[in-house]
Amino acid sequence: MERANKEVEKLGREYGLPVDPKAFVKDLPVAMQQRVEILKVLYLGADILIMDEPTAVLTPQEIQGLLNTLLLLKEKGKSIILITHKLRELMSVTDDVTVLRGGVVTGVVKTSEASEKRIASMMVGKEISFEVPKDAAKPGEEALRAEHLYYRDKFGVTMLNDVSFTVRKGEILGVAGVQGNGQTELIEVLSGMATRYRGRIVFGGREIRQSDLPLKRREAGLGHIPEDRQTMGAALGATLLENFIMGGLSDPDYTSPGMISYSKAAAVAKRQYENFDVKYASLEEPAGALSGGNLQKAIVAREIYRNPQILIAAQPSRGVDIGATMFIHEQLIKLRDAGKGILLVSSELGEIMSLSDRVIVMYNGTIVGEVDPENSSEEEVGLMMAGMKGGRS
Amino acid sequence: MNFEFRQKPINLRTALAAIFIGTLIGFIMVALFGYNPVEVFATLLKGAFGSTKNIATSLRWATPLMFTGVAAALSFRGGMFNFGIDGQLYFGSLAATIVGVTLTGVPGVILIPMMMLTSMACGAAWAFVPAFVRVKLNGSEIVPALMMNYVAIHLTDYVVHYHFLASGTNGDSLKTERIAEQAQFSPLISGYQLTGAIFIGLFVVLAFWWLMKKSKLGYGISMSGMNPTFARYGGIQVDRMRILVMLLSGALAGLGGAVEIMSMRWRFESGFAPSFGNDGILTALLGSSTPLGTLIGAMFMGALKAGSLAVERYTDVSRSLATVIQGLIICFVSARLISRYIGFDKIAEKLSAVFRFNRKAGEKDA
Repeated sequence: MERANKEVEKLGREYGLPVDPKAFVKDLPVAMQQRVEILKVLYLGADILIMDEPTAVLTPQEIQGLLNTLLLLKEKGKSIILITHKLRELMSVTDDVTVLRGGVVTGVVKTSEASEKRIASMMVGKEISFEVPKDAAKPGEEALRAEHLYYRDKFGVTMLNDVSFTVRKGEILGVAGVQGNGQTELIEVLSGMATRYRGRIVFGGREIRQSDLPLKRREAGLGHIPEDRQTMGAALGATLLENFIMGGLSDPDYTSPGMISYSKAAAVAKRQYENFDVKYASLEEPAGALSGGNLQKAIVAREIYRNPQILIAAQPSRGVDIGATMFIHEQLIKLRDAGKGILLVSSELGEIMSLSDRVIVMYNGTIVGEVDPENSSEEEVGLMMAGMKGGRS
Repeated sequence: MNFEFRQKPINLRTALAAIFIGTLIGFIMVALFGYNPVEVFATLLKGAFGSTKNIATSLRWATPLMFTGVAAALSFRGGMFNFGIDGQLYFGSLAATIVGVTLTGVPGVILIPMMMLTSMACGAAWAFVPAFVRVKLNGSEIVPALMMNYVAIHLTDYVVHYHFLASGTNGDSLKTERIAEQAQFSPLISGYQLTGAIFIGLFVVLAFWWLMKKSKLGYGISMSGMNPTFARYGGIQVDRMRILVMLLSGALAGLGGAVEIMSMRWRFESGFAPSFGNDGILTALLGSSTPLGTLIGAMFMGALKAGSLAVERYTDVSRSLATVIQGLIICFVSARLISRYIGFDKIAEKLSAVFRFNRKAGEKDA
């Protein structure tokens, strides 16, 4: 044990990854846990490291730290395969880039000879601009108001601590923050998945009681693209059609009192999936057969079809390729322009900054500041996300 | 409990292969015990399908399994595991019998529905306890359901013994008086063991089909079973569905018992429904909890039962052998759970490849 401790400390110094060998992993912040993970691999004598989206849960500062580590490892003679969809990381640390699209290699380039634009076009197959163009928001009446929300999780840990904000019709309010700072709980409280909260929620002037279950809230105009599409957003074993029907049990197009017409629902689902460019073989195939991006598009298609007045969009582009991401972003902006209120929750800062009309930053269960995405830098928000600085509010 | 056979469908090939291999091992066992397996299995087949009368007997035994099979399938679809079908059946059928022996003056058109409703209400009540444990107390529904089987079986014996014993018996056989004559079903064709009960059973299967394929309620049940988080997210009240599904399941179990009594026994008798509950669970498993599958499963199990009775009657082999075959089939059906490890699906694939090969060879010869 002692020897192992010493070895870990030595390794940590050698690779610039200091950790306390006696700490419990569960007590460490995410970035530190990742460090432990890397050290573990090094300790076992690995020469090749494969990292799959290692920066997904890190703040910009932590990402920089990780990238520095990768460079150091490279210098020490390790080979690293970095799987990422973030171009900036790619450009800053890699030597060679291989682009995969739909299981096919679409390009192999030296990083020094490539540009972000060129790699991105290999990824989606056509030249794209990153930011979906959008007009200035025309915020109208209030769509969603949250007042003094408090919530404790089942372990008694305070996850929401006096959270208040308003989303207006025709605007996208972004919620920035590193994962695990209360965003998940905020969504659960708003959508009615968690009911033991304190505080007041109003949907478009309609008071939402604490005991109102998700059905009531949907009837009050809520749509919800959940952050976890595998467990909450879809039943992977159920057919695509059954997945489409969820949340639409009072749709007069394919239901009558007590009954569902699956054939009528199929016609509706087919049309809507086509509009959203969801690729599938048959509506009878299980949702689990779809690729991540397609499934996400199917979920977005479903939620938007319900014509929500308020849409919670949580991690709408997680694990989705650039083409699908842009498509989803376009749809969100379209919905905004149609006068709906959108609450965008994402750990992808770029997504928050490019889509939102206003941004609130969550840290440790509270809103630490509000920023105007046009006039602030990602670094500034990143610092707030890391709890380093209260922003202007 | 981490059983995953609540929803995942088994395909026809797996079911057939399970039946095939189960039978094959049964064959070998019969041979090992010194009997002639060909003769035994010929008797079994003849007993099940040999004549219209035998087919009627197979259908007679399939009938109660339509009730208990649907009861099991419905609970599986809703993500609940109703292991208490036997208890619900006994409790429900004794209650119905009490109605049937007491209200002898009531005309049949009223008495029969009354007995049915009583059995359903009591079966549902018996199923409520495990549902409550699961939903409100966050426990497992399986253990209380199982334990309540013993309570029901012995409690009904007690009640019969002390309050409803048929006159002329001294407790040597635990049975009640016959139910009122107007509530007794008579055979559709005299001499055949088949009554109108089968139509009630078929109606139950049809109702199950309608529920799952046409109704919002069935959608809610199915989604709650598939993925409760998703169902809750979509506005379905999962807890309500779970309780409902158990109540319906219990009601069907009770109804199955009452119909068995009205149709065949005409009285409640200790142990009158041996393993209808477990056979119902097997029926649902064989049919992967779908309406049509459950119907086919019930038919198969009924045929096996009729066949094994014939085996017992006409050969020296005990009926328990058929039970052994049933048990083996259960093993192989649930073996699809571990099919990845023993390559069961691969065996099925190989078998079908061999058949294809033989067919092709045959075509060439011709």
